[in-house]
Amino acid sequence: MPNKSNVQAAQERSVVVEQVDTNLATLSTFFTDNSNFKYRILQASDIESTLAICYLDILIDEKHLNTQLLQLNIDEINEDTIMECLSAMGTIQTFTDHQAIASFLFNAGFICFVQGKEEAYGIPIPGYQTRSIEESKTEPVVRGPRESFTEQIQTNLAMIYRRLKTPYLKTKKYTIGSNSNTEVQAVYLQHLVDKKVLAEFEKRIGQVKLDTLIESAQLEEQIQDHVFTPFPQIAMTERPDRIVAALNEGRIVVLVDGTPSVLIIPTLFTDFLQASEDYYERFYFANVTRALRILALVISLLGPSLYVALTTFHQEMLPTPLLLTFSAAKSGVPFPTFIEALIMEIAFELLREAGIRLPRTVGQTISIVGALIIGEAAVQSGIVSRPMVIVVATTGIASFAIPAFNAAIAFRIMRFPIMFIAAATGVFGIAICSLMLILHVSSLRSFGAPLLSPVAPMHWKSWLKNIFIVPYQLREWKDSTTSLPEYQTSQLDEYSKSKE
Amino acid sequence: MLWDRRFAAYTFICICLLILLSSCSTDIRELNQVSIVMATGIDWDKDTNKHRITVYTLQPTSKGTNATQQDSLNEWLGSATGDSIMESAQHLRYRASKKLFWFHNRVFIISRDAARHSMPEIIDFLQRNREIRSTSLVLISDVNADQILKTKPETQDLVVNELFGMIRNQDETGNSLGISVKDLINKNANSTQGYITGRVVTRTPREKSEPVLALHGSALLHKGTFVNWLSSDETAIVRLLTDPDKDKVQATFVVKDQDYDFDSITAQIAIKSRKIRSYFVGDQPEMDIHFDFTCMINELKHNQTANQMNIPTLENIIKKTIQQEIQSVITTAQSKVNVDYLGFGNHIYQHHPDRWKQIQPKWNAIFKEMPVHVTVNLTIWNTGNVQ
Repeated sequence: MPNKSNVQAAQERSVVVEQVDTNLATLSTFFTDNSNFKYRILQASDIESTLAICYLDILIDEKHLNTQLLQLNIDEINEDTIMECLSAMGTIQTFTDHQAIASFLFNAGFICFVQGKEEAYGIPIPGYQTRSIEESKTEPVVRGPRESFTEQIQTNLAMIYRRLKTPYLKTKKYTIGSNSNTEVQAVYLQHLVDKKVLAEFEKRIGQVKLDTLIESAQLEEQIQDHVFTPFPQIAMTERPDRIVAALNEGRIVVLVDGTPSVLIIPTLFTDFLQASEDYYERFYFANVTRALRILALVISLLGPSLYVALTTFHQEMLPTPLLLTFSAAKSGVPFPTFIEALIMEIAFELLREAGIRLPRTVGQTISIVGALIIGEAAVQSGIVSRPMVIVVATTGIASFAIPAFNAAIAFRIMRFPIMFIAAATGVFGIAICSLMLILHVSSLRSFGAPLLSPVAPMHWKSWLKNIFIVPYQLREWKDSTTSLPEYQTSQLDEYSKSKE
Repeated sequence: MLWDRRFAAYTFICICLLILLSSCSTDIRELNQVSIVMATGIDWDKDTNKHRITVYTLQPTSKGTNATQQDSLNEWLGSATGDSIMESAQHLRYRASKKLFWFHNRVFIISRDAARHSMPEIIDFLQRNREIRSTSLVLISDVNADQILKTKPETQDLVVNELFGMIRNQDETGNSLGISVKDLINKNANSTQGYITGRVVTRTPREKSEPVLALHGSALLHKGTFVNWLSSDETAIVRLLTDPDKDKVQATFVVKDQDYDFDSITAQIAIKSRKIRSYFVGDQPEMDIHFDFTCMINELKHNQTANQMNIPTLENIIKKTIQQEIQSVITTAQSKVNVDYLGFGNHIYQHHPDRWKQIQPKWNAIFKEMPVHVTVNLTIWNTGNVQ
């Protein structure tokens, strides 16, 4: 066993020394009480050619390691044979610091100490189980690529590289999290990316303080522009085709190891209303779908509020036959319309939440029970009126028609305060509330780009690009692939100053 | 960041306030607490000198709770009297179990006596009440208005829907009409001009034992009072002359002419163009009216089927008759009724505003003597024959 005084000395310096046993002892101190830390010493007859292999057995492909080591004839161990054997196993990284060696072991590699060398050799041989590439469950399409990102950053990067075979594609690696040491990769196209946005991103990611980075949402929270708004300012996707499109528009995409959610920076509000399939269908259909999504957004935000306001304050705005139908349905219902709406909305949100959390096998039961409660039982027992069921159901469907889940949640939350306002002040309140909401959203920025552009600030030409889809032949900008005009990011300087 | 924090704080305070406010608003009117007024009748009683207001309301309820449930429209006919129309309306609240809601009132029926005695008050009532829609239609009845609203509808529909349907049908024949509250208020403001609105009557047809509602001609109103009834034919001519939407107006004439082989011709005409020109000869205004009609033969009593050769003859006969009818209506307005309900005064005011100021004080006398020249051109575009 190594000499104790030597160990302490090595620990203090924490550098690789010539003695293999000293190095092992030093490294072992990082893995005290860790049963997964394994090391093997291959000793040749010649003491000068001792070799030590260290690894975390649950992370590496031990079988592969053993097969390779068998090829090494113990009696012929010398510097040349060792290097020859290691080179056959992969790219060799050289370390001189034990801290770095420990990190490397956590990243599924093995380390080789050689007697007489003041450096260690590391080779990654990951052997843990990962999820294979599957079809996206959150962003499915009828036409278009099926694959979606996985939890493994290398696989995800490979999916991007396979789609963008250009030397302009650049990646920047960051390690975030004092405990997790999670790998984060920022990817962009060098000739298209806005340098100011890139600089701002680097500045912000440098200031991130995290112990453990598990999901990109944690990163999003620390690099976003506004904290207290319910609206997201960074889009997220699991689809590589959407990421590639974003890169082509000059955006930066941020991949985090361990999560399939990839961030797109900067984001425009219109991104939340777009699905990648829009570009795979004929443009008429895509435009109609986009218009439908804007309608869905309005319904999801204002549906129950408008119903409450119209039926309790502004009955004159309803056509007479419709009023008679509503009035008949309302007779015998014990609650005021607003309370009715609140009960139904809360019931719907409960069902939605339960539907997500429950195991798939039970989930179906919940949807049947929910349909019975909301659709039939509530009306039959006279607790709510029939039109209210239709309004709540339509609102629910509308909120699911918004492709971005994080934006849909924001609208779902905002629906409740607006309902209160509608119950207190009618359509007048809804109008004031909508105005405030528009003002608020138009004040938001995503890395300097106004979130609501090209609507606010108004930029008609970009409407054709970001809101509508026109055939390729009619696009004036077909020579330029970027969709973030300069005006959108030029405000970054001014904005950064105001934040300071 | 500071702004974000403020936004969050304000939002929280607003939500707390709104939770309290949402149950306190006095303007809340739940649907099951209102009685929807669909038609209103206004009467005046000569003996007691009191106004009576009658409302026809609906309070929809649903029977049963399953998907096949039937909605029933509980009808309620309530009436109350008072010294003024507003007071009568307020007295209605003694009987009404729910809040009366006038926004969906579609028809106002005013009895002849009320129209003769208290039209200015009625118009003022309609004008001031913010719940009354300016698009509601006004009809004059020759019996009491409550009697009209009490009449059982002929179809399974609501009485108000029947009345509304009848008014809509009048555009095909031009025999009657219904003017909106807005038009009534505007037209009444002009003291030199008369105006017409539909006349609703109850009559018992041969095939029925109970009286039914019908529209018949129109009522002539002038200077805030009822003047006279106009027949269906007269109403059709007045509409041809005055209706602002000339493309919508149609009229049907039955021409009887013994001089030719055609015994009786039923012709439906529509206005192709209408040119009204006013000018002065000395101090005396004169009018030229030129109509260009398109005509469709609906029925023809003739030994042989009409052919291409007969068309000029037919056109001449119809043209002559229509011209005479128009002239006769103008003559009646000028000499018998002496009320300008044909819009001539308005035309002069619009085209010669300075001269109008001079003649306005003595307009009635001038109108009575004013020469009006009517010319008619007519084209038959469809003989109605299947070759």
